[in-house]
Amino acid sequence: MSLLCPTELEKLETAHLADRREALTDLRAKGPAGLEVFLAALPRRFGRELLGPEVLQDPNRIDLRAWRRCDLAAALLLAKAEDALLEKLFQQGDTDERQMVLRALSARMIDDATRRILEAAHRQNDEAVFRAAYADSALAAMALDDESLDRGILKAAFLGIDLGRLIGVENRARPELSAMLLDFMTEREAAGRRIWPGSLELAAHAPCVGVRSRILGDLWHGEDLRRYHAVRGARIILGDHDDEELRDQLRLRRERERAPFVLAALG
Amino acid sequence: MQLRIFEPHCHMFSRITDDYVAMRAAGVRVVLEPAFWLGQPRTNVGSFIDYFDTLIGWERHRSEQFGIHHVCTMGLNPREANDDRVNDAVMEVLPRYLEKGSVVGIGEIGLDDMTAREEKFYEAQIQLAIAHDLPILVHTPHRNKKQGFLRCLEIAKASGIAMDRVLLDHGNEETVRITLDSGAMQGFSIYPNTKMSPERMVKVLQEFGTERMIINSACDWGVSDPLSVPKTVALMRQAGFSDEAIDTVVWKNPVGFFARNGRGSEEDWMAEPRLDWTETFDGNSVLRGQDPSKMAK
Repeated sequence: MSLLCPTELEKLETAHLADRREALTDLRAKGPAGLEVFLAALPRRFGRELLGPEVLQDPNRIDLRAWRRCDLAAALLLAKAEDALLEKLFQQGDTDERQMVLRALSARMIDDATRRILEAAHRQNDEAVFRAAYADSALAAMALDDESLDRGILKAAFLGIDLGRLIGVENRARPELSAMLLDFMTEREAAGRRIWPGSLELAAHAPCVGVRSRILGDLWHGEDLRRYHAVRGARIILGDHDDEELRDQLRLRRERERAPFVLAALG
Repeated sequence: MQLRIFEPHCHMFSRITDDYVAMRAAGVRVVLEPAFWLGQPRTNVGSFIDYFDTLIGWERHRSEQFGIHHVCTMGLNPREANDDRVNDAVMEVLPRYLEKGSVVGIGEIGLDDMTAREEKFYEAQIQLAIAHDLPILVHTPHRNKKQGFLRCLEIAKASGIAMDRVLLDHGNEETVRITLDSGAMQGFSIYPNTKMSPERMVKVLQEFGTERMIINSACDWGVSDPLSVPKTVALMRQAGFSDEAIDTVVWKNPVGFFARNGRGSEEDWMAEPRLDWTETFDGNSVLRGQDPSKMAK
């Protein structure tokens, strides 16, 4: 299966690239192999502007607000390209080209090439490339095995990518991953560095030893964002089974909370 | 009028960060780095690929960290056009670099020893320039220069490329009239002891005017001076050239020649590059572990 179906791609083309129909026709005529030369030209030909705030957003699948016009053009042109070409384009590409190839993966069937390209993107130290691979779509959560996805989530935590942008990862939570996230928190705290705020919320989906205690602690943390994710983590645990102490602590927190977005999460 | 310099020929790959600092302070806003040879022959195409990737990647980042826009030209240089270990293979990979965002031309191409192989690859690269709608930066021989200029021009004319898309570089007093008559742009490398000196350059400009004239440092890993363009500008001022005439030679002429078809523009290059010491390229920083907050803006 693919994250974007042909009908959706067609609609996106009509809505966002109608003014570049001639350029698309020209590039389609060159065939997918023509992109080995012209992929680099897509930002110039189609623009780097974002598709805009009104574009397709499905919280369980994909959010196209981070897509640029050239990303959409690449997705349209690469939807049926051979795997080998896609991998070659990624390897040969600069930052812009790699982002376009990664976003084009959403328009293709998920297969071994998807996994290999996502793993290659993970090895880059280029944050924009990593974000194009792991943020704003459920591609990584759908395509990668546990070990690769764990590595990806830990790198996202290291880079401070918002948990809300890692679509679908909560469905892949495992106690082993939760333990890694808690270790990472401990390591950061020992070094006096900021922790990844999403850690406890994600860990609450598959708690390991220590998650519940740390959530109880973070409900009273001085940083608004840590309290917010602790509240969300607590509610995830309570959705699974009743826990009197957690319920009581949430109630007490609600009485004292001042930050509007944390209050909203407290309900 | 504030001095603004488009430095159209410098091999920053082989320069140090102090050069970038000094060039920015002297008014350089854009550097153009032509692909060239590395002082010793490369033995395989992989070395070219890594070098080309550096020109559009790390070197561009490094330059922008010091407030200077970086663009480049790509090509198989004439010296290595003679080397059968690499020439055909470089020609195969070249097209995919010609559409990259910071590539504004093909170069340095042209003739060095004036061999048949050099001519063959020079001609083939002119055809690539036509196909990708790019100008060419032509290296001319340092020996038998006048004949070399004439042959470079002859091949360019026969190829069908518009002459206003041809920049013949490393010119001197002997070649000015030939180039101006041809309709091509004329480049002069101001280089210590060899090529042109600032004093000779000013005399050429006094005699032939500023139209289609471009000056550069051609600084590289040899004894060369990345500030030779601003030094020539200082001499032009002393000689009575107006601000406008200076701007024509060091800004308008090179910008007009290289900025076409969305590959850079005066507006892009007048904007300050983002000066952010925390930025990295593929995780690497020019600071080498130094504290970004302690760096001067």
